[in-house]
Amino acid sequence: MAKKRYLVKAGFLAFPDKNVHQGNEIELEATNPGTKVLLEAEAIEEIKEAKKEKE
Amino acid sequence: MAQTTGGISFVNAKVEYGTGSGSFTDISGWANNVEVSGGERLAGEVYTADGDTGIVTFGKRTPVDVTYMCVFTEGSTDPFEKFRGYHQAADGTQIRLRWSPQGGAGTGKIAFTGTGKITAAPWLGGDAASPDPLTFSFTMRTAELLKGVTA
Repeated sequence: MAKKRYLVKAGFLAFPDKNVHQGNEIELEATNPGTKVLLEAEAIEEIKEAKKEKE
Repeated sequence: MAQTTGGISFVNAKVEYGTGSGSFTDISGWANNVEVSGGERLAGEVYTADGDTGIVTFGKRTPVDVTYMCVFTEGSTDPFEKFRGYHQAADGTQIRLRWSPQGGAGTGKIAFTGTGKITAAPWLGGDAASPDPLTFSFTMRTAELLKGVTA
């Protein structure tokens, strides 16, 4: 299962053990149905690594 | 305009609490009612001899009071004893409350949270004529509530 990094866009994400507030980054399983729900609800946004510029 | 089909009730709510840095504890099996009040924006007014309406200016938002009503049980780790302890600890223990009307039903449901201390104590009274299970309630005051989603 591949994990990806996401930026929290909702006021907070209510995980069972914690709140992750807006502006923080989290790692989630990309193929998890819950992750897809949060993406569709625009509660999170995938963080895409900037590609290195060619020298 | 067609009538909405998206109305929700509180029947599948998830009601939780936590301390300042600890994880959340699900007390949906005890929680009966969540009530919220406050959070108004202060407004001022003054009237002058001229004109028929006042001059209105606005101030800050007032604190929010969140009241949980729960079923009373006697266990040492049950909600009553936990909240009583938080209230009677020296200076009061900072707690977090979190609830979601549909939070028991999955991901992406609206949720609310706030951090503060108990201001109205969770004491227990009763009526000998009542057959109902005993309940207790307490109130936490917080500077504001945040809206989020269940994950």
